[in-house]
Order: sequence, then structure tokens, then C-alpha cells
Amino acid sequence: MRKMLAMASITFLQGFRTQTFRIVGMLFVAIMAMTYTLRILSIGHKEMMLRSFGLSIMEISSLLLIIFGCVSSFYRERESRLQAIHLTYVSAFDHVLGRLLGNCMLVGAYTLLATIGCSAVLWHEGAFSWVFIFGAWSIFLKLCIICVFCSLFANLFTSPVFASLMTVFVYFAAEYASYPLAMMRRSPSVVPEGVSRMVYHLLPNFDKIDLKYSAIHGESVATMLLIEITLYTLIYMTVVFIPAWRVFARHEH
Amino acid sequence: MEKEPLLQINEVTRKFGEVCVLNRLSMAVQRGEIFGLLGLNGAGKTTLFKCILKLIETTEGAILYANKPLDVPIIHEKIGYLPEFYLPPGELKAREYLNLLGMAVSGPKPDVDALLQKTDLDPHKLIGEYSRGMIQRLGLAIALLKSPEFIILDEPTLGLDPLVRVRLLDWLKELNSQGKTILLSSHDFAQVEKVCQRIAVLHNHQLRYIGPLTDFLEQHKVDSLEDAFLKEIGDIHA
Repeated sequence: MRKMLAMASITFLQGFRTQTFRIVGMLFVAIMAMTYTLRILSIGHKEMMLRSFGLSIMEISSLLLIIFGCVSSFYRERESRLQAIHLTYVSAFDHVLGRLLGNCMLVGAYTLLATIGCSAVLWHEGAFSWVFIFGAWSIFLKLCIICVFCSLFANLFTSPVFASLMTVFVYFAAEYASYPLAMMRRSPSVVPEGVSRMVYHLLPNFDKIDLKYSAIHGESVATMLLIEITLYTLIYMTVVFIPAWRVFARHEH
Repeated sequence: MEKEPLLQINEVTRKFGEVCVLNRLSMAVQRGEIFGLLGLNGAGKTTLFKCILKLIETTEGAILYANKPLDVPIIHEKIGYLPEFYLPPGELKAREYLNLLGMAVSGPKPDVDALLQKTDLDPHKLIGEYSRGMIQRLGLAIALLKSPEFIILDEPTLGLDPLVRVRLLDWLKELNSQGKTILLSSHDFAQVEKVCQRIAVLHNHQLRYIGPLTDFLEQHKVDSLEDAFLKEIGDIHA
């Protein structure tokens, strides 16, 4: 446990102090400032517009942080495992889980800071709703799933560019997997619907996790739903983590 | 009297495709000695270290540690390693990094302050702002963090100024007197002459000599290790 936490802390501190983190943060602030300036154009929907943009920018910028920050972090010591040697006996499990936890902490810290910033703006404009926090939480859960995919691809592929592309692909596939399923339901043949359904269930169900709609419209969210999506995320992450860990362990020996 | 071998390398071969980098190499490092591995660039010194640390697999042969097959838990528990081009995370401070690594060390908590003092490093500076020599010293401090009984140093004095180099050699002698076994590679023959009791010469991917340093000098009837080495590898200038 100590070894895993040490790995996680090193990964987190490294990621938190990189230029990537600052650049992504500045990008968020810049777009948020632009959104704030343009709020007057959304007559009658200013609150919803601010909440919607705030959450969307938060999600996209966090995704950039994963692609440009976390992928390189996973690759940095994948080959040599020098840090693990210094850390006495760090098992493959501790190593992969520590790195994953560190990156999830990094994304969590970013989401937290972005949520505080956004909430302050929303508060100032009288657009803040507590559901906004739940919307941010759902974004964090989605990004944790992307982080574990990022770990899997970083262990599977030798090219960081390919791992990044695959991570982005999974994100967008998961984001839009529900649309083809809805379309195929109207198909007279059973086969396309079955395939779409299988793909939909294999990919993380972002349409179920995502609470942005409720957050934007200020609709209340049931506590049970929050617990369910959190549990779903944890189970899904465990399922993807296992092959990531096994692939890493296979490389090691 | 022959000391007990701590690390035994038996008929180790490592090939990268068709290229044979280590060819049926056999040698032993005895407990409590400072052993120098000499060779030109590309001779296979770093590859041998990586094989010992299981960072890469051997194609053939076996490596034993205290008469047991060397496996990953033994490596992590007993062996400290300073790589040739050590690149610690530049975003962390030395004290932070050592403390975090120390958190994961099994057994007694390492004395980070003593290590920082010994290496004369500024603990409040980011590692990214360190010079090459300072990074080497930090690397050595990290290698010693878990108090290993066997230390592998790949070019430990690379990029160090003469003063720091002398201090580092004194430190190696001090560690050796505390019972640590040290295996180092270096192109700095004067340094090897000062600290090593036994040496091995690796040339063209094969072991050309292994034994006491004094015997090596006598064998070639020269005073300096550099001349003896050049004679051994058949350099016409020697």
C-alpha cells in the first residue's frame, strides 16, 4: 500500500507541476473568460449557457490534460522501471495502480480547481446550483475511466501517439455509442442492432454517467443515481485495469 | 583466501536480433569488494547491468545472487542502481523525492537528511534546476536510500568536477568499508585504480580479463591501468 501510494504521489506531483497542467489551466480560464464576456448574447438563458459552457470546457480541457500529460507520464518509466527499483520491491500491480491513482488524482485536482473557478463565476452571476457540483463529479468519473484506458493503451502499445489516439477514440466512441444504438433499434434486421448493443455495452456508458444535462437545467439528481454511477465507474475501471496490469507484468518478465 | 561470490554471472549471452552484445560471459563479484568493469563504448557494460537488473532478459545463461537465482524481489530488496544517464523527475524537489521514495522502502525509515548532507544537495531546489553532477549525486543518494548490500554504478563520475569526483570516490570507499559490495563501470581508469580491488575487461562482447587489478598491471608490465587496458585490447598506441 505504501509503495503504491508513493508511486501515486510522485505521479501526481510530477503532473501537477508540469507545463501541460498550467497550459490546460490557462486554456480553461481563457475560454471561460470568453464565455463570461459573451453571456449577454444568451438572452433569457444566461444561467444555463454559463453552466453548460463551464462543464463542457472543464471536460474537454481535462481530456487534453490526459492526452498530453497522463499518456507521457505512463510512458516515462514504462520501459526502465527505474523508479520501481529505487522503491525496493514494487510489484507490477502496485506500479500500475500507483500510476493510475496518481493520474486520477491529477485529473481530480484539475476538476476540483475548475469547479471552484466555475462556481465562483456562476455564484457571481446568480447562476449557481448545487447540481452543478454533481455535474462536475460525473465528468470526473468519466475522466477516471479514460485514465484507465490510457493506462491500458500505454502498456499495450509502444507508441505514445498511438496510445493517445486510441484514448481519444474510446472517449468519443463512448460519448456517442448510444446514438447508433437508438438508430439501429429502428432497423428491420436484428444483426445490426445486436452489434450496436454489444459495442454499447462494451464501451463505458457515458450517456448514463453524464449528469451535465441535469446540472445545466438545474434538475435535482437522486442520491441513488450518484451512488450507482460511482459504483459503475469503479467496477468498469477494475475490469479495464486487470488487462493493463497483466500486460505490464508480462512485459516485465 | 578466495572470498564468497555474491553475484555470479554464468555463461550469459544477450543478443539483439543477430547482434550478439554479450557472448557467453562468466564472472563473479565477491562479497565486500569494489569491482570495476572496464570496456570501450558499446562493449556491453550497460547491457550486462540491465541483464543483472532484469531490465532486459538474457538470451542464455544464468545470474545468481548469493547462490540463488537472481529474481525481481531480490533485485528490488538488495541491489541499488545508478544508471549512466539518470533522469529523475525535474518537477520535484530533492527532499520531496527522497521522502516519497523513502516512504516505500521496507524496513527502517531512511535518513533522508543525512543522505542530502552527504551529497551536498540543495533540498529546496527543483531537480530540473540541478546540474549533471548534482543529478548524479542525487542518483547515488537514491541508490543508497534502501541501504542495499550490493550497489551497481554505471559511470558514476560522468560529468562530475574533480572535487566532487574525489569526494564521491571517498564515499564509495566508506560504503565499502561498511560492508557494501560495489560493481562499477567507468572510462576513468585513474578512478578505477584508486578504488577497485578487482577488475574485468570487456572487449568485443567477450570477457578478456578478470582478476585483481595488480595482477593485470603485472601481466602487461606497465604502471598505469590505462596502458594495460590498451595493451589488452591490442591498441597499437599502447
